[in-house]
Amino acid sequence: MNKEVISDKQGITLTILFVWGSSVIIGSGAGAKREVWLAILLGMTGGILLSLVYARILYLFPNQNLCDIVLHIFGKYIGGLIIVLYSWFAFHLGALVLRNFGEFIITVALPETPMIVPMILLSFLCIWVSKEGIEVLGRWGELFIIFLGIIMLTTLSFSTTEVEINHIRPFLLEGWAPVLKGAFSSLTFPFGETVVFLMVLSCLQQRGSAFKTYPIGILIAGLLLTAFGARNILVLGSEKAMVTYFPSYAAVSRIDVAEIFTRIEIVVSVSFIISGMVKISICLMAASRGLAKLTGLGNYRIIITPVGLLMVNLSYFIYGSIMEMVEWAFKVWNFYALPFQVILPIGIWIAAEIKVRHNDNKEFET
Amino acid sequence: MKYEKSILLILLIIGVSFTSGCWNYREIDEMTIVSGVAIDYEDEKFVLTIESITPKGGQDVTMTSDLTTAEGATIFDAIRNLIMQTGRRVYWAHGKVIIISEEIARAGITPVLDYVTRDAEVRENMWLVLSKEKDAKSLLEGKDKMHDTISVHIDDMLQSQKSISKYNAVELWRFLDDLTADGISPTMPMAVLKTKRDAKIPLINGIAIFKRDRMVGELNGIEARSLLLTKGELKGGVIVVPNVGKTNTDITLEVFKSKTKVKPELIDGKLMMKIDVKLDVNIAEIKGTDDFISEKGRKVLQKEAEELVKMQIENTIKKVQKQWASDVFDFGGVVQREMPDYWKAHKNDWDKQFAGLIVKANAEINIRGSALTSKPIKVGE
Repeated sequence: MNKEVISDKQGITLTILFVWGSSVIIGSGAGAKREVWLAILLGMTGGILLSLVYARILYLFPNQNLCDIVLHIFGKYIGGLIIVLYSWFAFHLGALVLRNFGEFIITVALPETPMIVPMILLSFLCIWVSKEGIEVLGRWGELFIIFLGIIMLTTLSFSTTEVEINHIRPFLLEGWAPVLKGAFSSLTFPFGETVVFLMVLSCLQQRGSAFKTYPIGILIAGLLLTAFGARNILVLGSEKAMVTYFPSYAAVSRIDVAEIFTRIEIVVSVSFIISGMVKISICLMAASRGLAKLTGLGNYRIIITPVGLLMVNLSYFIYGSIMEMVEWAFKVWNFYALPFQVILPIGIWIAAEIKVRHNDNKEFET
Repeated sequence: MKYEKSILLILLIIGVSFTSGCWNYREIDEMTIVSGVAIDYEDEKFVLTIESITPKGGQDVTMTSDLTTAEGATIFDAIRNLIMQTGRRVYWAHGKVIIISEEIARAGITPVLDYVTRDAEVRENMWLVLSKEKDAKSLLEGKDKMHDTISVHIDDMLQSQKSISKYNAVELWRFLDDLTADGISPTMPMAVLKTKRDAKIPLINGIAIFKRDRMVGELNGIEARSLLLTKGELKGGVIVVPNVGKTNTDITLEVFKSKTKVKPELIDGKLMMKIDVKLDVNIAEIKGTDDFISEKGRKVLQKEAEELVKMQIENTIKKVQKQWASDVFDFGGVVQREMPDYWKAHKNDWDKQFAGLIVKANAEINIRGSALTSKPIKVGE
């Protein structure tokens, strides 16, 4: 079996792109109003702690992904059930991101184009890159994150001319409750979503690499998301940033530097396509791996195409409208994602620790 | 096998480069480009008048403008009804001005603003102008020789706002920000028609005051300047100090820089707003022969100018407090930022609080030059 290996740098890159995924577009930390930046920071801190748990699970079982690990720990039936759950989670998440992309394109740019068209085009790309494997995606990400970084830093620095400092004052007018709510929301979207990586990250260079890629990736992505959240509030004001579907897009469209750099909001779409593609591809890979493991197929690549096409289908009928999409993302998702992102991983972690200790004792006997 | 791949690749490249295109593209000559729109309300219907421009090619590109009027139950309905006359869908991304009739503004402006903010094609940086004429559309019917269209003319007037400061220039998004935020009421510049030779052209002067989404009153040019100064948005303009030192000399000061500090203070349980303004000015014109440039004269001038600015600010605020009790000065916002606890306690009756505010203004004027000459014109014997 040919083994895929990605370097730590590529791992970090993929984590960053994955976290940015759809959150650069629809924003994170909803409900925190003026203190959205604080909410994202708190969410990020939580995300880093959570990611240490994920990294530990990977560390305990080197060169295995989540599917192998749960089968190893819980046996065929319970392990199989967990694989089904996680495959569904990854599959569903990929469909949601794909739908975000479709809604974004038809809302801001091509209102008369059927939404399925941009979605299919993007999904073909994702299927292709997933078939090529995570190595290719890693190298691709390493190259494109440079573009993305340039785009993000330029839009951020150009935004400074439109900043109104009074938009974030006073600090904590409504107390901590909305901030904590926003922090929780941003923990589950996007930081906690990195749990999907458990199913694909069996391919890092060293045993402890996940301890590096996870926290560093989340930290870098989170700091930039924080800057974006703060920028959106500073430019748009909390009211406007709350009601608009795509706050980053709206904020960037305000940019007007000496009447030369204006109307550059299209670069936001570009950054969304780049990071969204990585997120969808990783979800696709994770779902396919889970499914392949479950059905006993040795190679997950042969089912990527059907799974990808199913993902398009699911994303097409999963919401009736953009209103449903946003309601789901900010109201239901938190609670829906909690078991997958927090409860199950912690359970698996504890079980893994016990199993490993147990095994260690046994190993000496054999 | 070897060639198959490259043939496939070539076919792919040819296919992509020749068959690609936009799903529903529109060429520029097939579009009706809107440069400005006027919205009236008649017989329970919105009457929409667009000023459209058509670029004409040739050696010199010229613009021809045209007015089209349509009515509808809602704004979007009216926009689509325009097709019955223009034959094509109109394109909004180059729109510059939205003119709204006073009647609509007094009845509530949100029904008009919702569509323009919701739609993706309408830019959020269009200017908002209130028409003092009975029909908003009559403003677009004016003629102007300097510009191709009236909308561009109004756009220019609003762009140059910072050197006159007798009205403010309000973009759609700013109006909405003020409308939705707590503790501030929105404002909008007003336009009337003025006869210039035999043609009529629009003229902008003064500010309309809103309370929530309804227009309640208006401020003239001088008051508008005080409003801008209080909000810290004054970037230029002139201040005429009449009858300096009882010598019957009017002196005009040109403002270069202004700085405003608004600070709320609680005095015996009553809220007081302390407004400190600092102005950097030049002596731009002396309507007489008395010397106000020497140190003694400057002192007199400075004192009187400071007194004048202070009085104007206080009078404007008093007028707004008394007549409309609408917080266009963003005092609510200031209190919210500086004294969050007080704001939380009095948020719900802020209108009453605002009307009862004690205002103390203080102006500091720094005369930093007198343009090119150091003396007034001396009339020889």
